[in-house]
Amino acid sequence: MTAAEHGLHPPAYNWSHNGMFDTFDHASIRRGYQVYREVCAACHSLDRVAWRTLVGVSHSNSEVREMAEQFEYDDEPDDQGNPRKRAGKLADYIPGPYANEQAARAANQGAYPPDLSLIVKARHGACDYIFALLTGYPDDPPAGVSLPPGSNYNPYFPGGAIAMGRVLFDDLVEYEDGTPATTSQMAKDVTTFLNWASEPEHDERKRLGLKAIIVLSSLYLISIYVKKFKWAGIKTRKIRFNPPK
Amino acid sequence: MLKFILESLEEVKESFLPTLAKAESEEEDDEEEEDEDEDDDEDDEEGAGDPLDKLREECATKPDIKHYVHHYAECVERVTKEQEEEGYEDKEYKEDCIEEFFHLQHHLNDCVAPRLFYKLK
Repeated sequence: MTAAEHGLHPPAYNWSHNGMFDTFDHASIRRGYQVYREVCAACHSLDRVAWRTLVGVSHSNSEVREMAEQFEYDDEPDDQGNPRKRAGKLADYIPGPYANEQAARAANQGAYPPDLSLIVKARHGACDYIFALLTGYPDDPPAGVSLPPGSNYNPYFPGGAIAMGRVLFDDLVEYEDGTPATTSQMAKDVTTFLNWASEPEHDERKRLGLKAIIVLSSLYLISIYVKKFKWAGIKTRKIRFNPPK
Repeated sequence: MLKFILESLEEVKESFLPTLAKAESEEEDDEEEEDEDEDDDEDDEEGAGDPLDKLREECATKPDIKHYVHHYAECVERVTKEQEEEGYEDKEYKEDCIEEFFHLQHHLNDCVAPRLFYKLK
């Protein structure tokens, strides 16, 4: 395969959650959700994330309830058997923009926008790839590149021709915390959010890992001490032969 | 005996848990302060605009990357010239500048990536 078919390798960025004991930047997750909602959600679904999982992570309980209520879900039929709708609640999953894959393809000239719930785990390079892809659209494709109709050039996408165009532009969203919404800032936030969506257990996992290391290493040291203690008498004993007189 | 062991364990736990927590919170505070300072500096110096684009421009003028910019520009020039020639459509081999572009981007990335996230929140 040529380099173009592999796609350009993304560089390693210093994510705030990279280290062994580092947790997600939750302010960034919150901003990232805003970017997802205002930009990505027009085409991409987030099927495996339920509203309730956002509570305590990026938004408060009442905020998430409000967000869920803005969507309609199928309710149980009424007494006559007519289908009914109800407002969303915390237990519901975040609805996608299209009813099914066919509808998504029809709306996007045959290209299927992938579900973003696990996208960070599903791509080589993970966060770095997503960030590089979102910020890596060149103004013009390199000379001599012929693209199929309806596609855009992105060096990080294997093959280079991606159906998604550049979507992030400076000041596309207005952050509620006043962070300047530059392209790279939005890309970083939405990538952190998607990383959280793929690995919601991330913070807890690292905490438990730290606990396990502390407990197991202290147990190990104790076991060494106990062994030495128990064996001390045996190791230092002296066998003496007293010949019969 | 058991009671004594439990008590001593509790003491050991207390002796290093609070200090750990304190140390962490202090660190966090420091980091936050630093972040704020950095933000202020940026606002004063640079104002609006994407730090990524600025870093890319800055990096493109570095002596070790200039070389790749030059190669890419040369390739673009060569290919555009070729495209304007007659019979380009029927040519068996059409050159493209992907390789030059990848080399340039790769070296730009090596320069930009370690510095970018300090400029973002």
